[in-house]
Amino acid sequence: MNVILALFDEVRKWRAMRVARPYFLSQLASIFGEEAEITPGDYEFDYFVPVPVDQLEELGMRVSRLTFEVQERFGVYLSALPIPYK
Amino acid sequence: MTSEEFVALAARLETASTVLRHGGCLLQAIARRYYLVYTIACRAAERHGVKFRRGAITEDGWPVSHQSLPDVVRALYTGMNSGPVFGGGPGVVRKGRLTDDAASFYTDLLQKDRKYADYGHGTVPEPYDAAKADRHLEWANHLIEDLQTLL
Repeated sequence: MNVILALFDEVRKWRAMRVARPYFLSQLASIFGEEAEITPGDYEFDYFVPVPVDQLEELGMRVSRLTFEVQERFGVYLSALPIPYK
Repeated sequence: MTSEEFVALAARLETASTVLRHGGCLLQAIARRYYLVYTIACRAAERHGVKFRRGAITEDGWPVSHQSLPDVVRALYTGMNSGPVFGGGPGVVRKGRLTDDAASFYTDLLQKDRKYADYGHGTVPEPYDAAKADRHLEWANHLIEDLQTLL
């Protein structure tokens, strides 16, 4: 029974992710600009995005808000880590 | 973790954060303070029976993962479910507490600060100036004060 429930969960997550991921990426592009180098993340973050160090706090907040919005709307967790550079 | 171990860990993290801040190691000071939030939240979660839904990933030996800490914190603040976390306990009722959303939001930002501090992301040793770093430490302190009411 637990295996069936776990499988059901996985299918539900996969379906939600199919809708959530394009939305998340389009919103990331609107925060950082269409030219931003959004790259795949590691095992903890879905995406990395380079940001000028003086904008780290402000853009980091916008990314966190987006993560919460996606979780609220689609029920899945997608994250991005802004990487500071000079 | 026993009570004595918890007290010792909390004291170690608190002292480290304070010393690092005075020494100008801003990001590491925030990271140690974040760990204090994490430690207190784990302790409170354990105490109030906050648990994960089926299928959620947890780290070995710890009741919650860092990634899920914002949801754990929200569940502790409200006493209700948040994302993959089953709520529990009375919630934070202290006067002057952070809002549920702010608590969860600041936890997420602090978690990222800790990753800048420890994982080598980025090429800037100290991405925040003193004022910004102190603001982040303030968020952590507020979370700590609120969560301590649940211990």
